[in-house]
Amino acid sequence: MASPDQHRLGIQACREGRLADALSFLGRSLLENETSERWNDWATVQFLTHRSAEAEVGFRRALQMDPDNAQAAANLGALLASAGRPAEALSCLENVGEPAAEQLRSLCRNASAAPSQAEVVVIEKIERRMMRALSLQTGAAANLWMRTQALEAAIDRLVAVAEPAASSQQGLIPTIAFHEVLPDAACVELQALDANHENVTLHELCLIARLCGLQKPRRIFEIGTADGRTTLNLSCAGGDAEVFTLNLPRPGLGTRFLNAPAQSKITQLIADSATFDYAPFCNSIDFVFIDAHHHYEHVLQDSRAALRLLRVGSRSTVVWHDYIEHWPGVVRALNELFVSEPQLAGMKRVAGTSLVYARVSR
Amino acid sequence: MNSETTGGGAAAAREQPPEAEKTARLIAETANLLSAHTSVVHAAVLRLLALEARLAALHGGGAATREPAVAVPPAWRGALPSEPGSPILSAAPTLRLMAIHSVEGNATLLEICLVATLAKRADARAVFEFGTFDGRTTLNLAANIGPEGKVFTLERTQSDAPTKSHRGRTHVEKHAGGFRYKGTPFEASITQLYGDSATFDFGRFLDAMDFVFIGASHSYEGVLNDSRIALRLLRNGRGTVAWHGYAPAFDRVVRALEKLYASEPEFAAMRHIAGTDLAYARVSCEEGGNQCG
Repeated sequence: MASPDQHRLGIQACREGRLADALSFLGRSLLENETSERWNDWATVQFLTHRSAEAEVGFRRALQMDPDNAQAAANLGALLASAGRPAEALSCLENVGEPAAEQLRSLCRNASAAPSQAEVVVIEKIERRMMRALSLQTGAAANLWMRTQALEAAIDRLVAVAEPAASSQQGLIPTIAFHEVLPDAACVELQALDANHENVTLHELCLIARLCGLQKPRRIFEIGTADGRTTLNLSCAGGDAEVFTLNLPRPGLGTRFLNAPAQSKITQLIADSATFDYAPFCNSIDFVFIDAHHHYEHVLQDSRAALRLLRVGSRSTVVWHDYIEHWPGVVRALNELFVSEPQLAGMKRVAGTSLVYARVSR
Repeated sequence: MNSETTGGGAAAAREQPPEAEKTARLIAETANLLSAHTSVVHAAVLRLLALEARLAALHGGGAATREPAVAVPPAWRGALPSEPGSPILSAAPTLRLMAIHSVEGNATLLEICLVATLAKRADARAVFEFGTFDGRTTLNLAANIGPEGKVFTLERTQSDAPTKSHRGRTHVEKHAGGFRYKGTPFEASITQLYGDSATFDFGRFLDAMDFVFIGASHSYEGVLNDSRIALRLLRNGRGTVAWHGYAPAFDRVVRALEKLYASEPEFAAMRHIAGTDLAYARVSCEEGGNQCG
């Protein structure tokens, strides 16, 4: 088989969580053609399968072949950091993006009104590096956000151990049977059915589409876009509704709806849900889907923001994802909201899923 | 273009218009900010990593559960070549799903989606199904093949509601509430047939189908028989055949499919869809070729 296929198969296997397969494909792709990118991918999978020594060799090989491979530098940095070698990690990470900045500075010193051909080439090269540095920064920011979330989840789990009553009562919110929300005769239309591990399940996607369809919303707000799979399906289920979706900057943001026909109905908002100014959207939304930060306080905050978004004088729907043991912060926050917010007294958890929804009158 | 400009050295001596100076300053500031941001972010990541490690140690040194568990499909593989399901689904157009709630013995929702996608991909107008079970797959096939499409579904007997057991997979009562397509808008495009596929008269269905789904028999001979009939059902010998039951729990199905793959040229394109119990084959033989009967 041709070498690009091995590489592609490896990436595909990795995305599907078949790491052993990924490793063998990527290994074969390297045998056929060594590139910095391939070494980086191979080493990444080694890292994911906890073979740090092999991973380190691979990342270093990638950097040897292309010292500007920013992704490999960042990965090696992350590896060294997790191996308790912060000094090495930091020096590795600090080099990333530096060459581009330095070159830019030297160019600025020589700036002229009408650049020569040679200068145009340099400028274009710098532009490319700048874009790479920017995308790297987006990746770093996303990494930061994921780590923060992991840390907060760990804290939520500690709290759950310390105060079991607060968060472990998954039974507090009444359960409704799946087929009561989604009877056999109900029909939902879905797109982008292939799922990755951070996506909602197929059953959950069906429910979300159903709840959205029942609401017949004019305006939909989603807190937490990720790759845009639910966004795309909300816009599909919502008919002509406008869809607003909020997320921090991250790689792969909203890729599922990019270039889809539904994209014209979707507005991507890029900000932190905790600091976002919801004012322009208040009292105008009929359907809110919340799947952003899973930390207790953020869930409370996002949920209260959601209530302010809802249109006054009509009945709207709010749906939450990840009401499961793995996210005690979500469980605790929703339990509290159920008890303390009169508007949310009608909250229901759909059996066999991690979805909670409420029909809310404002 | 200034052809007389030779390099950076000469440029430094040139007089700079205020616009260029402003731009240069802006670019330099941006570059500085960018590299400052990157190092701040990286430093924050490192500190978070350290905090996580400390927290994990406090928590009892257990496995650091940083990310939700990745749902890795079971690694079982038979002798059929396998392909992942996600490219099939990601290339799929909008699917219409009904009877989503699954009962024991049903295909999974993922499998339903895949079967419907394969039928759509085959541009199916006429579909034949071996084994109606509770009619859930039937309904979803009917819902996705267009308003003119027809689904013919063959169930062994009219009255049976047995509890079949397949090594831990208990098939519960089949039609406690009737077939699940009953009462839906798609009931009209479904023709329910009854009979044993070994003796059923397929006469009027031969050479008329675009897609055949075989989920009925879990016996070796049954699968061989149904699959060979499937080839004769396909219009001009072209279309797609899909099977349910390619899984270790149904070893007779596995053996039968692998036998068909190895011995019947029409099924040479047979693939297992990784992580599911499905296999499928696109069949296309020469028109009039006698092997298609």
